Amino acid sequence: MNEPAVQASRLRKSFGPRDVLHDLSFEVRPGEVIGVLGKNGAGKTTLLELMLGYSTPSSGEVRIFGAESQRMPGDVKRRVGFVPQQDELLYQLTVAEQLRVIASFYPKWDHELISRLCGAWGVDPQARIKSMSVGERQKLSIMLAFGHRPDLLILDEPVASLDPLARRQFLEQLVELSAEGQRAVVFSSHIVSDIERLASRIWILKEGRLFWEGDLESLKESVSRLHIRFGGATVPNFEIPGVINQRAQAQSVTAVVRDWTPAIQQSFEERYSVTVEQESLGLEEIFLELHR
Amino acid sequence: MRAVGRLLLTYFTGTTATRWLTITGLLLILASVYVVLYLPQTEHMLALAWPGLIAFFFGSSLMPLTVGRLSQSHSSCVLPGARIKLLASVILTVMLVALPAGLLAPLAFFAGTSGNIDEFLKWTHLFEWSLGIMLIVYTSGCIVAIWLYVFIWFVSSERKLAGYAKGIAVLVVLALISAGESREEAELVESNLKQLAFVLVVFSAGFLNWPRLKRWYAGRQRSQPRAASTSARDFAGSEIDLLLGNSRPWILIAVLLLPLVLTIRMGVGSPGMWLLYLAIASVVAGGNAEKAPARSRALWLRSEGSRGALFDAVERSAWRHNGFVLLALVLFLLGIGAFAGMSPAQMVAGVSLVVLGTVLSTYLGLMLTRGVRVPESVLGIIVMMSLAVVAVMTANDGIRYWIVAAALAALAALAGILRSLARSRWARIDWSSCRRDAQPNMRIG
Repeated sequence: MNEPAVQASRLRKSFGPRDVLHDLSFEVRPGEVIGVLGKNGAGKTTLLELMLGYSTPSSGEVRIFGAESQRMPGDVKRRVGFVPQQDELLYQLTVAEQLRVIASFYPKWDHELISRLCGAWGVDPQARIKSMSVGERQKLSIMLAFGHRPDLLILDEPVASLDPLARRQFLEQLVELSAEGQRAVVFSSHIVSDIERLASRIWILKEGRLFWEGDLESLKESVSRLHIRFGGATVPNFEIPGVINQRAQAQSVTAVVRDWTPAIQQSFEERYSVTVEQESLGLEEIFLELHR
Repeated sequence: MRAVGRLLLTYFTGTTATRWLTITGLLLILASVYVVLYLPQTEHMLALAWPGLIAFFFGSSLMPLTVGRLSQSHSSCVLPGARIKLLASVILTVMLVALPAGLLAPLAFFAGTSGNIDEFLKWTHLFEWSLGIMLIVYTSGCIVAIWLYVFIWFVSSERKLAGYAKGIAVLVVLALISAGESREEAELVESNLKQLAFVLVVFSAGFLNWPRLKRWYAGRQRSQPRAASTSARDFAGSEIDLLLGNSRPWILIAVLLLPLVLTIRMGVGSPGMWLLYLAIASVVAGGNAEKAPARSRALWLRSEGSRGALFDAVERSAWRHNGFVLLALVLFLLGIGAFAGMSPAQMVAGVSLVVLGTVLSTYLGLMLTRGVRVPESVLGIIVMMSLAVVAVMTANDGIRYWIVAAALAALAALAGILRSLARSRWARIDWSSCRRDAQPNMRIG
């Protein structure tokens, strides 16, 4: 039961000459909620599709509950739920018909949960999918992924089309579901506050690499902004340890650094005769600074 | 098994239209069983069976789109046993829709020869022969159903020229298969079974291995970076024609003429058949206009004219495209008319028919500012049936030409009505109502 829900080793994906993901290795344990952050084109969707076996890695492998993602047997698939970025519903059908079709593929289906969600999210079971708004379709896609109570939920920007109220309801439901038993959740989003609120661990993808993998507190402790003040008019030729980016202003330099410690600060101040002021950052600021 | 059962039920009853078609089809088939078994035998005893079989088949028309959508989406990776269950549902659907024809044929034969079961069974060779008939009709029904589903898939999933072209190619294949020489019963059964086995094995292997094939193909495509397209062809045509997909009539001309040329090779030569084929081709020629409402939004956003002016521009563009296609069809008709021995009067009527077919379908296409709903579907069927009836009437040597002329005049009047209807709809076009919602080929970026 304690086997990793997802296990990837040396995962690489390239499209022709372009490497989209480089050498990723990670694990998702049961009970963890992973928030995947990255700007457009960072490789989030590609990573989630590799997990599902929808796409083949150029090298390396992904295992879902011990089975290779490309060849997941039925009993493993029963433990996986997925919400795609754009809905993949059968537009000719009604909500109830679509739910019945998908439910028929699973031996167990939580009809009570689905009817509760239909009520709470205002989705009419008799509505024809074709006539529903994008947000309503997204709610239905989420319900379809929840219905068989999967042990691993993979969600690709699930809240992108939802209004703030529906987003809040969805997040509450996700918290409730992830708290049940040992369910693992991997979800990508552009909305940093959602990830901050939900995720027990954060992955930040930058240019196809896992720039950060860890919990939010460690990330906040690790990445900080420095205000370096110096006396002269010209910017000294600094070598800032662990620098991510830096900007020079009049008589000061602002730098974002990783793993800055008091010892490093002391030696830096002595070496360049400067004063350094360290500032903690929130997740959104960290994300913006990483991509500046 | 539960999933396969649910899929089958969804194919036949998923929407109100398919539900009614299925029920109507089944009722008509049951009624024709009654007619065959209990009413006096006439040449019209299967009159109810044909519409019943057609309705039952179209009752399951949701199948290709549903299977295509589920098998191409992420669902195929996540749903347990998705591909095998979908494949099973496809095969069972084909077997089910062909079943009524397979059962009705020997019943009709039984009723026609004896009507008394004890007597019928005594004549072993009659019993065996009727079983043979059942096998032939059933296997032929399966083959026809498979090709018609492929046709529906191409036409409904790729609602563009390439899709229609593939659909027509499928119909040509079906026509070529059906036009095979008449053979002995046993030979025909064997040939049908071989065809079925071949199609099912190839389809099943392709369907089950599709993800692998797709990945392999995508890998090959991606490893060959394409040079930036700067050929003159990409900039040909006016902007409006490019936006509406009306810049290359030659493709449609080739698509329409190829099956017609193949038909010459098959030796089909009766004037009636040619007029019917050309009437169908003229409808396809005009069908290109159905994309205009959805595609015209980009034009509206950058133009300053009224919706009426937009309609005029779109109409001119449609005719710049369809005019060439129509010209090609008329030239083909004149050529083939001489070859098939059509009289001058038949030629004149044929040309009028082709012109009217293109005009009617062009305005029917331009009318679709709210997508295809029941009234538009009914109108489309009426137009198609009327053209077919006039084609058959024209080819009939015994008919009086004033009747054909009156029918053509009625069609011309209908074309005028459709144009005004299209124009009035464009005056209040709402682009959110004519957007293309069904996009089965969704690639998540």
